[in-house]
Amino acid sequence: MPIPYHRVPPSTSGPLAAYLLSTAGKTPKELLGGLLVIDGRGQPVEFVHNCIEVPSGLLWPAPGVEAAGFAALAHSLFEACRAQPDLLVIEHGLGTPHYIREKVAPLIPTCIVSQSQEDNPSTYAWVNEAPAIGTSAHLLIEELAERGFLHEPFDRIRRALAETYGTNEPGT
Amino acid sequence: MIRSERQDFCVRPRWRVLGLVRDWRPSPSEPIRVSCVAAGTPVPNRLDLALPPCGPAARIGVDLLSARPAASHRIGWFDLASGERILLRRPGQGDLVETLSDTRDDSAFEFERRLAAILQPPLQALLAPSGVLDWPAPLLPFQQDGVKALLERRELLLADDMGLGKTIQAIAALRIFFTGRRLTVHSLLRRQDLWGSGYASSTSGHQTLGLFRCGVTRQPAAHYGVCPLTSRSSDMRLCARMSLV
Repeated sequence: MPIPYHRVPPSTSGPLAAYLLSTAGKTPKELLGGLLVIDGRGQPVEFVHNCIEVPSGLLWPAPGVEAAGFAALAHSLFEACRAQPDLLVIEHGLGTPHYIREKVAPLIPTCIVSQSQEDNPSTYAWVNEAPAIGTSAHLLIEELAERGFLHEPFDRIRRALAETYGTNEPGT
Repeated sequence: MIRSERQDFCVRPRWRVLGLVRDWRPSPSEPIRVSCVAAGTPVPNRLDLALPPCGPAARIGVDLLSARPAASHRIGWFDLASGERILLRRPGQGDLVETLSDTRDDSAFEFERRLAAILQPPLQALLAPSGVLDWPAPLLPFQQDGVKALLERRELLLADDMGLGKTIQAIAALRIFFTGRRLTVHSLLRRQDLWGSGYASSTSGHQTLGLFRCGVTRQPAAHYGVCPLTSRSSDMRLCARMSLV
């Protein structure tokens, strides 16, 4: 006699982290953005990307335009993302913590990750209020750091954006 | 969806006075014409004062910086219950489902598969003791080379002396494909054996000859099976397609 059971659809369990990256496109006018959602084991769950055309030229200061474009890109990526990550990770250099806190304004724990140097491993700093010890966001960032996925997903996003928009991968 | 406190923002253009302004027209509908009289000529910096704080240029900036809806790719998973398939979900375009018998040659489909392969974790991270596979001990360097070669090629015969870890390399490659959610498994062994009992036990009793690819032969979703020495002749014919390295 069969035993009834409910088939659980395969899905990613556990907390998720969203890595947000913005990079230049083929032309100075293009600004590419990618949001990669991974689980604590580094497995990709969702990838969201977009391209924005920013004004350039004499009258438009590049830092200001890129910063505003980054915020617009980030919001479009946030809206398209269907996963519900517990943590947002942004690469160092995309914006000051104040700008990210005020303009990007994510409502989940957000940290900025700096790339590892020769001897120093990757480090992170919380943009908004640091999550309490024991929360999913805190446990997730600890797991990602332990497995070496603190900064590495940004390289994946760069390659994926290069594949998507046909740009040359940096450094190649 | 990630919630955020979205705010409207304006980008102020950088007003750099390059010359003397003539025909100054403060009306927003009229273009501003600037002409340079002579380089280095001291000119009054009037533009900064004349422009309103949020003039037409700032509105243009907001319009230009409004992003289109982003594209989303959901990495597919291996669904053992409903048969071998890879599912790639695209919003507004319907799900993309691949089966073993699928022979579609769609460029968009290929792109999504390449994207899924690119977004996988690197091999070193996968094979690390703290990596995704929870590998019990680090592989030797030449074994890592073997796993990498298995993952990079469409067809490969892995051959080496006895006891140097061909089985463990094959298992590592299989597990990477499984965890990478890009494998449609077509194994000569029974599927439930391969999945339920673990790879080591499922290959016990067989001498692993190598990994070969069968079924749909399109990268990056590869189809590998573990081929025992006691394979039937039809299976061995498949093995004959392997390229020797």
